[in-house]
Amino acid sequence: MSRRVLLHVGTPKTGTSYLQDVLFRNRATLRSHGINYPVERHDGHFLAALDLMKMPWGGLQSEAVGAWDRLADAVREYDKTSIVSHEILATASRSQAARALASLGHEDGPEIHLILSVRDLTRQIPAEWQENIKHRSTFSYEQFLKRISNPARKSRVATWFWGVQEIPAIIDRWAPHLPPEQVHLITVPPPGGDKTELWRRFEEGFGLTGLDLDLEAERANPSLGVPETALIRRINRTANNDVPPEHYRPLVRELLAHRTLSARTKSPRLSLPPDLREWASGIEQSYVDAIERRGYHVIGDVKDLLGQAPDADAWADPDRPRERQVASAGVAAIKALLLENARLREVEADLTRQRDEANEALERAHLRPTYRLREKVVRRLETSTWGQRALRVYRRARGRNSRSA
Amino acid sequence: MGDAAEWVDHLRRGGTDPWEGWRDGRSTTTPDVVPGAQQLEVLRRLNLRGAVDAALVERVLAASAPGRGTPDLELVGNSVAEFGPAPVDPAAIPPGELSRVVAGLVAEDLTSSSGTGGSDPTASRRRWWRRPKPYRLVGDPWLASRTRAALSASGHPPVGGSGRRPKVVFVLAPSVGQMLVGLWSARAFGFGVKPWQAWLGEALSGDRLPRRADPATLASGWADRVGQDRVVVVSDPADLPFAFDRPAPLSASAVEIARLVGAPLGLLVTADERRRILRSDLLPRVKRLEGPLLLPDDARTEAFQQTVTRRLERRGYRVPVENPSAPTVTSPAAEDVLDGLLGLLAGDRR
Repeated sequence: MSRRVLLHVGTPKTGTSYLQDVLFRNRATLRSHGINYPVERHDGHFLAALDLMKMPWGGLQSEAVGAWDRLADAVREYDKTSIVSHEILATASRSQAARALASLGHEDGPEIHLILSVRDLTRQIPAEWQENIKHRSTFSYEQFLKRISNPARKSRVATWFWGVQEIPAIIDRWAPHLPPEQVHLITVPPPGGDKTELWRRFEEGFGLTGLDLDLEAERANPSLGVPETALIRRINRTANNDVPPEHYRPLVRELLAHRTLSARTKSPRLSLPPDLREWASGIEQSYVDAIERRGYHVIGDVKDLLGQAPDADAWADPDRPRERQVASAGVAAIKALLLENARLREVEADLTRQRDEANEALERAHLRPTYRLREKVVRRLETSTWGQRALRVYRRARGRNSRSA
Repeated sequence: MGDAAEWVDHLRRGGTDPWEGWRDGRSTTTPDVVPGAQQLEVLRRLNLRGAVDAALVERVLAASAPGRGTPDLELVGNSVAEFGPAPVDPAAIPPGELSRVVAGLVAEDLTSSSGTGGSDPTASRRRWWRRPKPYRLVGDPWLASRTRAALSASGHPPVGGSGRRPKVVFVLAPSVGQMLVGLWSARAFGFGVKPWQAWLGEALSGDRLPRRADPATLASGWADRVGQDRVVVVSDPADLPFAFDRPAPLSASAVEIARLVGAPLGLLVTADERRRILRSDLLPRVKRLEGPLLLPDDARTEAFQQTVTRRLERRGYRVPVENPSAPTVTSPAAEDVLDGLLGLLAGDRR
């Protein structure tokens, strides 16, 4: 049984992809230091979260069946510290969270620590909309803002957004019975500061300080600018009905969004519209007040959750972007797709050559006299019902599949 | 024990009093920790249908609605939370939200009771010792599929996929509206589909109908393959030249139930197994559910119907198009769907 379980349940867009990438690539090193990150593939905890919450996710859910129980087994079998981390766990219901805690052995002794990495709403709101767009969504920024700012919160968009962003409510669902000293909030520093500070806070929160880890990022979730996000949204509107999820992910999300368009860092950045600043800052203040009142352990500064007022002059509306900038992003996207297409054509040509070579070898084998005789007999038998029955009996008697390729 | 905990006890013992009447306007500053309002309301509605065994009671109270949607809600009067969704009166929760909870439980029941080799009643079964006059039946994806199964069961299996050239191809072509419902139904009992209105909107958004809901395209495609003289377009299975038990149409609620149950089912089994379970295990149960049939009633569908009729007539097919005489609705009714789901859940334990 693990002595400690560090349960990191959120929130999205707070450096979680990088953290999980580091944990995955360094799991052997971590293990040698008594830290267990039980996972066989980089998205193992994501699949476990899908399984726990019985959540569909563009077809991936079929790979998730049973994943949570396997993860919980691996945690219970380890006798030191285990880390479980995925940000969509934030939206688990009370029942799902209770089931998760029970399966990790909460009632039998291991000390469970809940960890949330958190960022101000001023930055989270545009980031979440962009994440929706990178997951095939087609609604405008204006529609998104209208839904999440509606106090009724009845739409799926609002339910999801507040489910993964409303910090005190997440803690209420996951840790109603945990003492405040076992609830840790890692705050994302404000923009413009030391770029290594966030990782230093993760190290402190997860007990990784002083460990020699490979910190080179292989996976990240880079952000897009205003024209780039507008482009992806237009692609979604045109292509969603024709491009299935298994092709959308590698081509649009990975190739276009993450590897091509995110490199265009000089375009205007997404931000909160100035007219929503007061509304957002009121909510941010309520989170800060609740965290201070409840006495949770904060790594960083709770005031980091008070976002900086956006520059009203720099506001760029992604629903009405500058078309020249969108066109430029479009050309970059086309170039990336051409290069990828060229690469795939070379792969196809190589596979065709290999197939042709294999067929030639097979034909040479078929030219042997005994083979041709046997083939003739089988063909004759296959044309009649009695012959087919005889073949079935023969094959069963042989005990293996003797059908021709 | 406060009002909420006592109410949960009341429900556990088979009670049916609504929460608002039970708490009688009182609120507490020390709320009890109780299951979510959705789960409690589902249990209350199950109790209204009759005795619920203890195991099912606990399953309902521990269930969370699968997938995305409203999280577990607190009871109004039993919550002092300053964050999270507003507490609710369970009786006021929309039936669609309750259906999500029940659908997840029904899906679990289907996986635990399903055999591994149950036959798909919509699959054709051929008796190998018979060699019927070869024919194929295509058209409305759902109606044709069920009709093929019924024909096979009656000893008139079509030849589809055997490689034999059919002497005649029957194109089952009810109205365009019915074919759209048929295509949506086939997917609801298959690998999943969007809610009806969202799906219909997309299906009608282009210049053409989805191919499998377009009888004129189907008929002309087969005419090009086997010759026009071998293609017969019929609007109803009763017009086929065989004696067989015709499948009754499914109510709108029945199809919607399949769609709702299919989603959590797809999280428990493989895609192929999901399809098999929906067709072999769920279909026999939901086809007993009475209620109006689903049928779109909008200008776009009517416009496509006129185009299809003209194209069929140009090819020489004169097919009377009649909409069903049974009552129809343009969307499944949420309360009927919930009622059907509760019946499935309760019936599994009787």
